[in-house]
Amino acid sequence: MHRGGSFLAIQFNHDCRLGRLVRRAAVLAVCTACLPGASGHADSAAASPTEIGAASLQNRLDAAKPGEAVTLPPGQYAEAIVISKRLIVQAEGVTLTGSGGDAPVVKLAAEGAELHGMAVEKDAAGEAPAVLISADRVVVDGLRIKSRSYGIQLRKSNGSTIRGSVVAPTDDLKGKSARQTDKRNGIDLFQSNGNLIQENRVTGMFDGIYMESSHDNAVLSNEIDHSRYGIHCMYTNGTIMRRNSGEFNVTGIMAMIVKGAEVTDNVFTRQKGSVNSQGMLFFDVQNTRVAGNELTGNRVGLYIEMSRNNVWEHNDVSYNFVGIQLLDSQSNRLENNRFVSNVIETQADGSKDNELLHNYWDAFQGLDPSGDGISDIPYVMNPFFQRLTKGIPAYQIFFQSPGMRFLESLFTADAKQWTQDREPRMEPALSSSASTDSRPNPWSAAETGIAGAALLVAALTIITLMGVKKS
Amino acid sequence: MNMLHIARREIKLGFRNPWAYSFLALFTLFTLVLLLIHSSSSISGYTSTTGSMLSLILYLLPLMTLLIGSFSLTAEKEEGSWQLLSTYPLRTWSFILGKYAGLAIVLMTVAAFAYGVSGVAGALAGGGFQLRTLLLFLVFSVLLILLFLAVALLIGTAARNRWQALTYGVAFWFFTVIGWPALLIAGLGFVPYLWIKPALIFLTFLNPAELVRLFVVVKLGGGSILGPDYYKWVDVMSEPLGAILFAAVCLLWIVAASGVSAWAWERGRSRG
Repeated sequence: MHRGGSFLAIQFNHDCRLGRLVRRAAVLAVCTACLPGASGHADSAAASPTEIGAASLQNRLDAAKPGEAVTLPPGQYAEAIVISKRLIVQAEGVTLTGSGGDAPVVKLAAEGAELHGMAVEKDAAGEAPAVLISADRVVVDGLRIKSRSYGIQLRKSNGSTIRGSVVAPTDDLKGKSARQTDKRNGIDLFQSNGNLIQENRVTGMFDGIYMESSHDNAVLSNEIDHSRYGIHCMYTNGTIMRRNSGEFNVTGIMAMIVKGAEVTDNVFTRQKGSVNSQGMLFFDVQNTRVAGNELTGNRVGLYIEMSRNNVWEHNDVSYNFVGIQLLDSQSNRLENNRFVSNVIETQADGSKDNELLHNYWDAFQGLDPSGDGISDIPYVMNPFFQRLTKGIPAYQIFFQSPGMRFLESLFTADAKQWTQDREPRMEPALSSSASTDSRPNPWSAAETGIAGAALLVAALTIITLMGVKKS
Repeated sequence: MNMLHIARREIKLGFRNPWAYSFLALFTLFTLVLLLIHSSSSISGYTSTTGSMLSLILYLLPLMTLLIGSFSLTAEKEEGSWQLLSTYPLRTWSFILGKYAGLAIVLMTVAAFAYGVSGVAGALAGGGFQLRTLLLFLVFSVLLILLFLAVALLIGTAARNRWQALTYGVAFWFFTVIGWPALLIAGLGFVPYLWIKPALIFLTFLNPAELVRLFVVVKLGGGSILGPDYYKWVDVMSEPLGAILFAAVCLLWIVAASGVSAWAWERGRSRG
C-alpha cells in the first residue's frame, strides 16, 4: 500500500511537470506565430529559413552546416529525426513523437553532436529505443523521454555524455513491473566506453542503467526507482558508480562479471518487495572498491558471491532482513562497515579466506578488556541456515524461527572454519546516516503513548473490577 | 448457572492466582528490557528489534498460556469443584466455553498491561514502537493466547493432575516453539524432495506458533524473506482476504480443540 501510494505521488509530480512543459510549449508556439520576425532566436532563424515550414524538423537540421547551433521551434511533431552532422540542437519545448513504427525517434549519428531539452515519446513497442546514440562524444542533456521500449541506447559510442535527463515508461505501463521479456531499459550501453552518465532520473523501467561489455564509464548522481535493477553491469571494467540513489527497485546495483569498478557513496533503500531483491548484488566481481554506501531497509543489504580481491569499507548496512550474504568468495577485505538492526546480520558460507576487520555488528556482544574499542572475541558467522536453505529452499520458512536459533546453536563444532570478523568494533566507526529517517516524530511517540496508556487503564480496570473487588 | 457465570468466576480466580501476576511481571519486564536495548531508534517494520520481540513473545506467551490454562482445568478436578459444578444445571459446553473466555480475558489483560507499560515508557523516552507495530504485537499476542489456550484446555482435559499438565504443557511448548525446525528437518529428510514444501506448509498449519509467527512477519512487510517458494502464499496473506483466511484457520483450530475438550468432559460427566 505504501509502495503504491508513493509511486502515485511520483507519477503525479511527473505529470504535473509534463503538463507545465506542454503549456509552456504551447505559449511559446503562439508567441512565435504572432511575431515571426521577433522570435528571439535570430541565429536559428538564419539557420533554418521559415519557408521550409515548421512541420519538418529534419529539413531544418539538413539545412544547417556542421558546427552550427540550431534552435528548433517549440511544438509537438509526429516525426523522427536523425542528427547526422555535428550540430548543437536546442530543443526546449519540442515534443517529438516519432513516425509511428518501431524505429528510433531521435538518432544521433555524428561525432560531437548535441541535443538539449527535447521531450521524446516513443509509443511503439519493439526493440528500437526512443533515442539512439551511435557516434562518439555525443552530448544529450535535459531530455524528457517516455518510451514503450528502451529510453536511451548507446551503441559503440565512446566519450558521450548523458546528463539531466528523465526516462519513464508510457503512462499505461507506469506502476507495472517489467517482465524479463520486456526489453525496456532506461539507459542502455553496449560496447560503449568512457561515457559519462550523470544526474539522470529513471523510473519504472526494466533496468535503470544497463551496461554490457562497456568499460570505463562513469555513472554519477543518478536516481532510479521502481525499476528492476537500478544499475546493471555485465562484463564491464573500470566502471565508476558514485552518489547514485534508488528505492523500490528489485536490486539497486547488480554487478556481474565486473572488474576494477568503484562503487562509492550510493544510497539504495527499501528494496524488499520482491523475493529476489537486494541492495547490491556482486557476482564474480574482482578488484572493486565498494565504500561509503548506504543500504537501508532492503531484503538483503549486500549480496556477494564468487568474488575475489575486493574491498568493502565504511558501508552502512541497516534495517535489512539480512545484512550481508557472503558466499564462496575469497581474498576480500571487509572493514569498518556498520551493521545495525538487520533481522539476521550475516549469512556466510564457503568464504574462509577473507579479511574481516573492525566492522560493527550491533547484535554482537563483544568483550573489550583493553578498552581500545575493539572486541577481543571474534564475531563468527554460523553457516548452518545458509547451507540448509541452499540445499532445500523451502526451509526458508524457518527464517528467524526461535527453534532455528536453537538448532543453529547446536551445530558449532567446526566453528574454526567459519567466516569471522577477528576484531569487531564495540561501537560503530561512522555516524549513522540512516538514523535521520528513522528518528521518531513526536506525534507518533504521542500516539503510541496514548494507546499504551489506554491499554494500561483497561488492564488495571479489568483486574480491579473483575478480579480484586468483592462482588 | 451459565457460561457467563463460569467466565466471571474464572476471571476472579485468575486474578487471585499468584501465577498470573508473576507472568505479568515477567512479561512486562522483558518487553521493557528489549525496548531499552533498542532504544536508539523508533521501531517499525521487520527489523532486528521486532524480530527479537517476536521471539520473546513466542518463548514466553505460549508457555504462560499453556500452564495457566491447563492448571485451571486440572484444579477443577483436583479440588473437587467440578464435582460440585456438575450437580448444577450447567451444560458442559457452557463450562468449557466459560473457562475459555475467562482465561482468555485474564491472559489478554496480562498482555495489554505489558504493552501498555512499554508503549507509555517508549513514548516518555522519546523512542519506542510505532503505534502500528505495537498494535500488531498486541494482535500477535492475542492470537497466540487464543490458539494456545485451546490447546491448554485439551491438555487440562487429558491430564489427571497439575504435574501431568505441567509435563504435557512443557512438552507441547518445546515441540512447537523450540524443537519444531529440528523435528521437521530431521523428519522430512526421509521424504522425497518434491514433497518437502507441501509437507512443510501442511505441518505449519498444525503448529499455532509458526502459523501466527509467519502471519505477523508477512504483516510486518517481511514476506519476501521467505523466498521464491512462498511468494504466492505471501501475496495472499498480505491482502485483506489473507487476514480472513487466517482468522478462519484460527477459528477452526479453537473450535476443534475446545470441541474435543468439551466432548471429553461430557463423556467423563455422564459416566460419573
